Amino acid sequence: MICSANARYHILIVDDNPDELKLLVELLRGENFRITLAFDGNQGYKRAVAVAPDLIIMDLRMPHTDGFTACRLLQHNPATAQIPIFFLSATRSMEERLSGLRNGGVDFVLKPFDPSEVLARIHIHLKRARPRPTPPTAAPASAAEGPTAPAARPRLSAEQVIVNAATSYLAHCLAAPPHLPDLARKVGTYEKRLSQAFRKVLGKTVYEYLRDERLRMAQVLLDDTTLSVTDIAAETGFSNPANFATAFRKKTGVTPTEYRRRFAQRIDSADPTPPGALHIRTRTDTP
Amino acid sequence: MRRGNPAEQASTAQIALDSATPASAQAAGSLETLHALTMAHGILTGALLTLACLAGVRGVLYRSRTYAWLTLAAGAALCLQFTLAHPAVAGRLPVRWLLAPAAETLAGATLATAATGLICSVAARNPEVYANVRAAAVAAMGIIALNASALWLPHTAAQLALLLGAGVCASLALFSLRLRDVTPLATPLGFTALAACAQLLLRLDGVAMLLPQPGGAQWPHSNVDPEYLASALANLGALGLWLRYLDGERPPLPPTRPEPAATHAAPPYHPAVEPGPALGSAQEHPKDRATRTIETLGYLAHDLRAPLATIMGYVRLMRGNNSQARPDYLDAIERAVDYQLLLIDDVLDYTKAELAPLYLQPRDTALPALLDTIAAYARALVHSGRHQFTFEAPERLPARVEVDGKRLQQVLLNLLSNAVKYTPKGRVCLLVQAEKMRDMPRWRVRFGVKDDGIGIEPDDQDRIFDAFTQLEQTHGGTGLGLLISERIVESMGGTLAVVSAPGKGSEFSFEIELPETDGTLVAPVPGPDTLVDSDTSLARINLPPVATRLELAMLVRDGRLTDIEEWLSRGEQAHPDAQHYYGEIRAALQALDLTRLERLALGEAKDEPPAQSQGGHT
Repeated sequence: MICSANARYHILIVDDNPDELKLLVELLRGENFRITLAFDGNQGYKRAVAVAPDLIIMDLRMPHTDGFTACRLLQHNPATAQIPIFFLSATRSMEERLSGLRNGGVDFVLKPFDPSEVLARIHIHLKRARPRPTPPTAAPASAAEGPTAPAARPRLSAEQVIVNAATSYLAHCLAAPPHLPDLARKVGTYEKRLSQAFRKVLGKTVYEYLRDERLRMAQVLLDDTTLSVTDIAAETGFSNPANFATAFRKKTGVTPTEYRRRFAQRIDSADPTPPGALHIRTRTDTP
Repeated sequence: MRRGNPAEQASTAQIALDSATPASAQAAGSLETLHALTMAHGILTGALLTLACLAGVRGVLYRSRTYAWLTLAAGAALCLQFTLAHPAVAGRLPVRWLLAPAAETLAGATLATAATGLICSVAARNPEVYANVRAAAVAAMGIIALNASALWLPHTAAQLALLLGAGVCASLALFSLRLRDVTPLATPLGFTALAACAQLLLRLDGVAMLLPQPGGAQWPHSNVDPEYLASALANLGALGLWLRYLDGERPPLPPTRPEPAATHAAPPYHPAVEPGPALGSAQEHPKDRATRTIETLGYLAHDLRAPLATIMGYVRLMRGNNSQARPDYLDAIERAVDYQLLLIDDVLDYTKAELAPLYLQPRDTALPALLDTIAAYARALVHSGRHQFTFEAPERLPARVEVDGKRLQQVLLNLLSNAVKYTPKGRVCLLVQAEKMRDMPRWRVRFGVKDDGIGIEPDDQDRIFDAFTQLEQTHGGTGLGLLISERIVESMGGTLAVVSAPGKGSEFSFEIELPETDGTLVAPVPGPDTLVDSDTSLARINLPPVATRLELAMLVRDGRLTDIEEWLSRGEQAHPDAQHYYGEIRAALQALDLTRLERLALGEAKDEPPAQSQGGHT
């Protein structure tokens, strides 16, 4: 059963139910994989950073931190972003399954699963992700130093990962952002820590970031679309066009209508210089 | 604008009136007119006093800066009004003569400042909506200042100021009347502004000449001091009624038009903007409950499905392997079945509680024995994890009480098992406090289950329902345990409450009244507070060297299952005399009990010295 560890695929299994874990371990042991276990999402994320597995098999509903959250964090850490995530859950909800796939999962298999099917799928993903198994970067004993030990891989601070995960989550729901505690939970942390991370990494609060991001989005929409100002205000989550206009003017110095008019003039006259103190995106800066 | 208008425009009118008084009094020249004016001033004084008092009380109650400003403005207007217009009363105060030269200027300046502050603080509340209020405030201040200094200005300028003030009032009236569909407040506000406008116009030279008897003439004549008091009291009453009407939740009635003079000072605040916090939550309550039930059922559906998936998985595994039914597979299947049976029992319980809320069967129960049983269960519960269980009970408890012991036990065990589940490592505590109710054979008993686990965000604790929902969502499906516990506690006449802070643990508690059947005071049965861990037997068996075990500890910390297995097979060959230890490891590995593995690897700090010496022997 035991042979050289070097040429084997390393698989991380994340599940809160020991019986489920055992089932998977039995299944994978026959295939001579190296197996690492984790019992919830947060542990799974930390262990993935520590051991850099070739594939992660992830349950969705787990205590403390669920599979979506773990996935979000994994996706935003360059050290783990390339690892394929294979969801295995008993959920019947199509919404959850889609959400898993959209959040960086490569596959989703419903429990109860058929062992041979799961094995076949695992092999496909392993081959696609890494055509030939290469020796692990470190021997088991030294690689087991834990997430605090620096490694040769590119690393981001924990705050950076949290902020990246949170900002990319917000990017999808600018119009209806979650409350701060919810957002914190979605990225596996709590409110205070999330705020601290934002202040440290971006130098502004979550709300400031959100407002700036909305205005930036609105500016893109003003440039690229013919949507009315009212529609853009709704699209970017402002409660009414007046609020939007006020905030926009505060940021850029002109009202949205004026901004669009000037932008149109600029296009017409093919003049690349920005009007006034407007913040101009890099795309329009190119001569 | 809505909040700012009244005071601004009331004070505009007020000052215009005041400054115009001597001139118009002289113009009219008759004693009767003078009396009527004095009466009108009495009414105004009363109205301003009422406004100042009410705004002051509201300002203190709601800690609202707007109302504080309003208080100041009304106070200043009151002072001005009093010194200017009540020579009969004010003349008796010695202070009046001291202040006389500066009083008007002082009061006018205070009034202008307070009104500006008021308007700006209203504007600060919602800068988006009241974008132009600051400009309006400055303009209004200009007019007020012009009016206040009317006495020192040439006559034409004073008349111009009056005209301007009247214009402002008229436009305000129009504005308010246009807004009357938006808020019921707009109509009284409009009438107020109209009245103020009329008052101001009356002071104009041209108008005053046209009307030899000003509008005030029809009021009763009096120069007796009690009359001032009576008119002030009447105003107080009218204003109080008006404010009550504004405060109430009644549908907007057509506003009865108060006396013009009184309306001047009446503040059209909108109390509905600051609803009491209790009101909002009370209305949302039933909806929350329904939503939560539906959400919980959603989780439950998942939970009911999961064990079946596990069972199916093992059956397929055994069929695929063509192997004998391995005992650990059968154990896993049995556990899954047990779990699902438990869930189904929960569902049945829940339905029962939902359909028949009072299904409790209180009977004569020995309280200390019951608590001891619960504590024993709790100790068994924490035995599996990394927890300490403590049981804190008062020294004296009633021997027997009437309670549904089975249900009470269910609630407490549910809370305890949740606490264990949400506390990765630490202390779980069962607290009991009992207090005899005076002159009654009843006890008020408080039960609490405290942990030092992850806790709940304070925002979510406002409503306990949110706290529960959040627990469910954060920690995966937990079945219906909390919901059922809550219902049981409610049927017992208590409320399940939670106190918690993130990272600091939570305490779930409830207080119920129990009638005693035997009031003899007894001590609760003491139980062992801490567990004797079976791992202490480690000290007596042969252990591999510390370095080897530390390597295991590191592997366990990262959950590297395969590496642990390899470590095990290497170790078994290298240290055959530690066979018993490796046997334990293998058993823990078989059960995937990494917690126990870690404990075995670290051998508990206090066991380290003997372990090391034994390692040296090998």
